[in-house]
Amino acid sequence: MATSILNIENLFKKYGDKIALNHINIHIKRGSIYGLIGQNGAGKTTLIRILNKIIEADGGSIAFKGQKMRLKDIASIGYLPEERGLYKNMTIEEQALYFGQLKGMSKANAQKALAYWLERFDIVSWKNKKIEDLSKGMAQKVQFIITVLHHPELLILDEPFSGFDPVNANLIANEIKTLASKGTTVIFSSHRMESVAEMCDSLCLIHQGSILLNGSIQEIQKEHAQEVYEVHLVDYKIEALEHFLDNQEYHITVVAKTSHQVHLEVIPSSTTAETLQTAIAGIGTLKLYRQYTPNLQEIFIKTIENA
Amino acid sequence: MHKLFLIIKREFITKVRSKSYLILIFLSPLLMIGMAAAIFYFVGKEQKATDKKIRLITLTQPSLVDAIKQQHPTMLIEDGLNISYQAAKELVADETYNGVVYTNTNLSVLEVYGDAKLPKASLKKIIDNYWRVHFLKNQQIPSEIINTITDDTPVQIIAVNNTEKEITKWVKGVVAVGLGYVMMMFVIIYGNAVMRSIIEEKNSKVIEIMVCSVKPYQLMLGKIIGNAFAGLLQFFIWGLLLFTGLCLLQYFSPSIGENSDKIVLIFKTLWTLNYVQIISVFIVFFFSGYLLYSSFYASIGAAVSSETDTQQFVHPILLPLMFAVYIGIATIIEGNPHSDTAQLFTLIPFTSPVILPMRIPYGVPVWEILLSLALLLVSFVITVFTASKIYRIGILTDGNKPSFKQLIQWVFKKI
Repeated sequence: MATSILNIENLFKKYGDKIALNHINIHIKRGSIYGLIGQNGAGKTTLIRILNKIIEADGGSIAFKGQKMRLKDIASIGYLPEERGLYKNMTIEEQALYFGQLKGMSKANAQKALAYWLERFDIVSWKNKKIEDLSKGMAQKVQFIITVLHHPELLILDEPFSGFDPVNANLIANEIKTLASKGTTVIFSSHRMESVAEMCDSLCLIHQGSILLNGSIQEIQKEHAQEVYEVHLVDYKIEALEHFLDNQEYHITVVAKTSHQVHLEVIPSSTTAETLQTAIAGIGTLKLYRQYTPNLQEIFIKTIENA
Repeated sequence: MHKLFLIIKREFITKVRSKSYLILIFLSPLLMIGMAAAIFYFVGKEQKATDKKIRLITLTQPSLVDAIKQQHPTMLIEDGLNISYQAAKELVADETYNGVVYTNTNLSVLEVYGDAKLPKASLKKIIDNYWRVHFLKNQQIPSEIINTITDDTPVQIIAVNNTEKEITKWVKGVVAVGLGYVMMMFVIIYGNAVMRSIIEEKNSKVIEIMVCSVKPYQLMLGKIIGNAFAGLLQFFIWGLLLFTGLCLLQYFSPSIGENSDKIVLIFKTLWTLNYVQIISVFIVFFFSGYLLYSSFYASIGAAVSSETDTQQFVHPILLPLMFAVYIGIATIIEGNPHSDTAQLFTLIPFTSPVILPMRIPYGVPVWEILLSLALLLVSFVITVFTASKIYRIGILTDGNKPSFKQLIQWVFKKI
């Protein structure tokens, strides 16, 4: 895959007897925003820590920019952990220069990059403030600056909006999109589906160390949309309805039912959509017939429930 | 290497910039001097008070009472009590008095009855002499002869003039104990500083960002070395303050009076010690001893989540250090600095950082220094390696404090 920046093949990791990552495969395109979704303990942090070389995988391979990932590639990664942390007794400038230099920047370049970001967020006056003197939201902004300071090619953001008010969350979201448009690849780890749907081009759902869903958001939604139909009938014939409910060719859920109307969710198991329309035609007056497009959250919950 | 340097620099600057460091450097010597002065003051006061507190009942002839008073001018002597010997004994038993001196009129009974505080040997000597004089008088011996055989004997006690040797021993002892204590104190203070710094990094979650920029052992080593330099700076400043203080003391003290000769001798001995060797050995052994112990402190800091959880693990580290100081005092100061025991503990890596600097003022053969250092370095490489294994797992682990068994498992665990 020439356009991929990161190719994860058959990655495996276990802690004692517990499998944390079960032979997973992920391919991330350069310049894309990739969502990593999963519940707590699903394996997201393990994957991120392996990518950052904090821990080692037990099997599989990771290729970064087409080459086997090496230790020095870590300098090309910017990582914003979910649990944020900075040195409380250091000023923003000292902190930025320290982390920038640890990522291989020269002092002058780190100073230049810091000046750019302070100006961009309109917080130049904070430069000499210590972290302990900042509010939580302010410290989060500084943390974001430190993550992106060394112009990383791959940005790993774990719950990047937690702790931000809506205005600042929007500001950070725009910065992430801008960085992606300039070629930075972003891995966006979260369990908040709405932010993932809004931000990401493609995603994967990890559950108990395995990938349950993988692909672009449109593909995933399209795939799940084909299966479910919403049917709303009024003045239905009881016998015809019961006959339809017994039909083994469909998986039918009664969402709501009164004496003169019924709301159904129908998944055809073997027949086509046209056959379904014929099958429901004689039951009653069709008030609503539409292909149901579940949102990402519903897809994820359902996928995890069925796993 | 550049990253290690950056970490060392940050740790050093953060440490020396903190208020606690400045307090430690400038306020601690004042507190220590104040504490030493207070101890001398109260011990002296207590000694005087103890002598004054001795209360003695005398039921004897006035001339014997005078002889006792002459020898023990500060003792409280009650010689006017008109009570029986038995009653006096009871007063001693209920602790109103410390003792009784009783003699009957014809001096056939002479007794000293008293508790542990009473200087019984001295009183016996006074009464012995009093009885001899009385006995000789009864034998019609002329008083000149009696005086000659009791008071004016030609026996003379001439003390060997070992002042110089004693003072040299005393000065070296003070320097040795000082070096031992400073070493122990520095290792504990800076080892704790490393441990606290790691706990703080764990709690503030900055560790996660650090370990994706540097290797855990680099972070641990940088932290340990950065703090070691802060310790050496403190040692240097204390040395400078001590040197200035001694120079000032030497300049102003010779006119103090009868002890001026001794003071001149103390300073003469002080300046003849081989400070180049003392300081270089102290620095080398501080560095290696501190690295040995602080790597344990670092792994404890990584393994626990709060400072209150550290006690159980810190205790085993403190024991060998304290043991080394006491062994040092017992063998080097009180006994022979080159004894087999002293030599043995000079070679054991857990005690050598304290024992060897303590022995240095007395002169230690170069081969012994080099062997001790080599053993210490080998041990420190092993402990740093082991500690870094615990450290790399500990820093990523949250929750309950691990057991010793788990810590050992971490050493062999792959992450």
